[in-house]
Amino acid sequence: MQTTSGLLEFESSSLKKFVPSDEERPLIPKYIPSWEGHHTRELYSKYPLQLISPHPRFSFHTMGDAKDSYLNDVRDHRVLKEDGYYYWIIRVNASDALQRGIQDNDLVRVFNDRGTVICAAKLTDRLPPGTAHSYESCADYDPLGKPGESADRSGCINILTPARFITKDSSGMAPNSCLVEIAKLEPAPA
Amino acid sequence: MNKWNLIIDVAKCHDCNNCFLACKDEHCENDHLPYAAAQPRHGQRWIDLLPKERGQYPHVYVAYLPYTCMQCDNPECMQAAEDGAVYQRQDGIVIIDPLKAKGQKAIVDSCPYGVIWWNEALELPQKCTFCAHLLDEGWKEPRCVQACPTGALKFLSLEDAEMQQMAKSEGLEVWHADYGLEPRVYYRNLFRYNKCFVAGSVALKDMDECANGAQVTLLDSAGNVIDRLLTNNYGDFKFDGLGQDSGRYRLEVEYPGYKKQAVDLQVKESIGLGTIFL
Repeated sequence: MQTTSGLLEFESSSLKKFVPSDEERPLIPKYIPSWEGHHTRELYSKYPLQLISPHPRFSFHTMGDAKDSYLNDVRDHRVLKEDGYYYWIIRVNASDALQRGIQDNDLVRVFNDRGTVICAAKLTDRLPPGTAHSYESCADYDPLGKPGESADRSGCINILTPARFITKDSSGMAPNSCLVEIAKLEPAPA
Repeated sequence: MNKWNLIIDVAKCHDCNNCFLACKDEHCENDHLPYAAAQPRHGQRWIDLLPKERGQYPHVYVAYLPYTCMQCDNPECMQAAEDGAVYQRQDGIVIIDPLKAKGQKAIVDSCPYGVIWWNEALELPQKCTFCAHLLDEGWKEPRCVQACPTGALKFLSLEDAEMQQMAKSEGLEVWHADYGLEPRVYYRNLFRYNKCFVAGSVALKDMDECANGAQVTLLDSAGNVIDRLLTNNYGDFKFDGLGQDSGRYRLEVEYPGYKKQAVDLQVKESIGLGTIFL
């Protein structure tokens, strides 16, 4: 057993030694409401969709994506729209999408206080209502206006995710504690 | 004379796109004359993966249909072509001659499967060649089949009679047999793409438990039993392979010590019923 006591532990002896008083990582694991989630009432009322953003399935981090690669033509990687642009995909529960007047393959604004990313919506029942899914690490940044202050249309989902760590005493990132709202993009960019 | 056949198992395709990307790697910006001119980088899908999501949350099943030139034994494109611009090899592979076919857009329009693409720059109809240029060098399979990690794609050289026998004994189907074009691409588990299911969960309300082993019976509108099964330990059941828009059904759920329940259904698309409480 690789614990410091060599035994199965209910209370972590190594945490007790190194970080005994981290309220966000107690010695005995317990449920803690997220600092950005459905318990954060004010934020949740503005941004009611929980965004999860795992590693991309078809590109390897940024490798292979964008740059006019034929990987862009993989149906579940990007969507080619009438304007000739390959948009990053956000997957949305079908009922959430329909409530917002969003149809399959529509361009949408995905946004919160951190910024806005333009994506193509894919409607699915593989996600429960109240959640959205889009891969992190697209390989381009394409702001419509001033960089850093305008919407990105290449799919930089990490614009939306929190910069903070899971706890102050660890270096674990927390991209899935992320609330967003999604709205149909009108009009579509020329 | 043996001919090449592609056998596709829909149940094994996970949408990894290795086939799609291997095809692009082989054919994009690579001329393989006299078999095919280069595939443009974008716009053509010599092999495609057509997604299908069936059911409603939480009863959702996803399938992908690998979709390519069906290498028909009786191809429409060959009839539409002038100057013998489309020909069939002795091994069954249908080839669009990249020189003779120049300007013949009618070849694209002739294909009911929609798997012939128009190359605007070259004014050329193009499609999958089963990688005939590699087979003629001694390869035993095209790039897409070689790249498939799950065995969803299999490539077989058989006499037509043997292939027919195998299709029959293993329940293989062709896409749109009604076109009458005798494809050389066969599908296994095609129901996952083109049929419907009725699925649900059974739970015991008073126990707050999944009903493991509840008997679920599916009946047609005349009251005849179509199928009967037992729920698994999550209380789940699924009847698959029902026709789209196939009308009215009745579902009966029984569990010892509980009152039998019936649900009347109209099947248009797949139905996820959620939880039926006894």
